[in-house]
Amino acid sequence: MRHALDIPEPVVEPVTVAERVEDSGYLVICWDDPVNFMEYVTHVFQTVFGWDKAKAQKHMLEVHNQGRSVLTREGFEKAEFHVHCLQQYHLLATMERAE
Amino acid sequence: MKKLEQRGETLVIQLSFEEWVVLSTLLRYREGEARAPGQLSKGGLGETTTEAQTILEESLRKTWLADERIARNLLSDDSRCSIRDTEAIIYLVPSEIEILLRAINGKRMSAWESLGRPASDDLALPTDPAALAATRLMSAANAMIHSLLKIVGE
Repeated sequence: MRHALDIPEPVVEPVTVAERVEDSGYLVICWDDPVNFMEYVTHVFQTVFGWDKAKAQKHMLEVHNQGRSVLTREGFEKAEFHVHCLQQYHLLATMERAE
Repeated sequence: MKKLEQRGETLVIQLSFEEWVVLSTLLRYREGEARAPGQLSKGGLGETTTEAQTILEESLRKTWLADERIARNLLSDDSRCSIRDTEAIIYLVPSEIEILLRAINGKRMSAWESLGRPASDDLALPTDPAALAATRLMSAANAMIHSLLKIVGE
């Protein structure tokens, strides 16, 4: 005969504002370099982030004209993942904590 | 190099025999190793130790070597690449095109490194044989990347 197990109800902790900020508190930045093609960089942005060509080109031009572009603001792990993806394509990418 | 057709996800790409030879040779280039065009450190995290940098570089190096190996295998796999008298037909899904792009760009980076990281518009033909070979290799890689990006964008 089976007995019903006394399983407690899961307690869902409310997410605080500070935690949400922490969760998306890292900037993924791509820096200009003298070797990668502009169209290659555009293609990489489209592939890595799933952006349309217009958005990818806007960020590519920021990199080209201003020396860097903030691509996304994300949580630590996702930002780290995207930096690694960009570096796999030989782009110069870093992440830093948002102000 | 041009796209003949698309069968589902698979792109059917035609290369002239010369393009196939150049691409196959390019992927066997062994001068130096590809590196990212600058420091890999993640600025602002306060954890850019030499050890972390080394681990990151090692991880990328393994990825790049795997890309090269896969790209070379694709070109030598009879079921993926058929070579005729004057042309080669290669069948690639999008993820394989990305691998090929990264592998070719890695060769560009290697050649660029061996040339002393010149500015992009400073690629006058050198007289030194090794530097000349690296410059030619960059030119070949440039053409391959432009052709692949054109195909992907169609």
